[in-house]
Amino acid sequence: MSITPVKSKGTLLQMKIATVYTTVAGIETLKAGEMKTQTFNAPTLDQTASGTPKKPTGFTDFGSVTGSGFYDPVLAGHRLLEDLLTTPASQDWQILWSDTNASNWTFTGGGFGLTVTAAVADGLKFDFTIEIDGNVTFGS
Amino acid sequence: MQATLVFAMNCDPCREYPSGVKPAGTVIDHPQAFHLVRQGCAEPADEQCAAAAGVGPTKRRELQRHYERASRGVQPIDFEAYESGLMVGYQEDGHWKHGANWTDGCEEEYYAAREPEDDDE
Repeated sequence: MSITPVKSKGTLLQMKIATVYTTVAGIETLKAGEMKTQTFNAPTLDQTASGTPKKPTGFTDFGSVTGSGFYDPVLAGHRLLEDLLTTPASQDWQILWSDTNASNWTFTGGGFGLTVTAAVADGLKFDFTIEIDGNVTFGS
Repeated sequence: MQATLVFAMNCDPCREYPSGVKPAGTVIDHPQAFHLVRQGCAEPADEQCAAAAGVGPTKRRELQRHYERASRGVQPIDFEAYESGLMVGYQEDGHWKHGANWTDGCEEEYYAAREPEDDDE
């Protein structure tokens, strides 16, 4: 069985507004995760192996979603990102991958961060961070 | 407050929309529906929504055109190609989906014209 590489082009970040997921325009990069199951060290004096045993705590930190893109201060979709800062609230999100099944990940953002950068040799850009609250639902 | 979707849009799957898609024409009755109008996803379906959105018909058409472009994942480098009808999105291999004005070789020509010039002196 061979893997079919999926292109990144066409991947969408969408935020839920009034029951539907709307696309955030201008995204250039998206990094989802650093998801990690939590463990605890469980070495005992009587173990023979030298390695430290690690056992699952039963919790997973789904980490955060980060990304960057071109920023438009008058665009309604980007103004809604600013609203998340002035009025912090949980926000539902979806990432739509560009594979043939249009697989998606849905999650709730508990926190949001925004950095806007103006540079001489580039357009106005933004970096964002969405801290994932709870689980990610991996859909297809 | 009501707005009518102008595009099919994703939603959480539910009994009414098991596929997770609300088709174009669906009326959204929600206190935040005016945001959909401002984003170019919907038309106001009542006066309250129109007033809250505060966007006239000409601007709404422009917003809807931009939203459609964004929802097709069109990258900034291809905006001009999209606006001129050469492409409408991307195929599985990353090449353009043909627009109404697509012609043989236009994609290669488009990118060749945008390649950075060699700045060797």
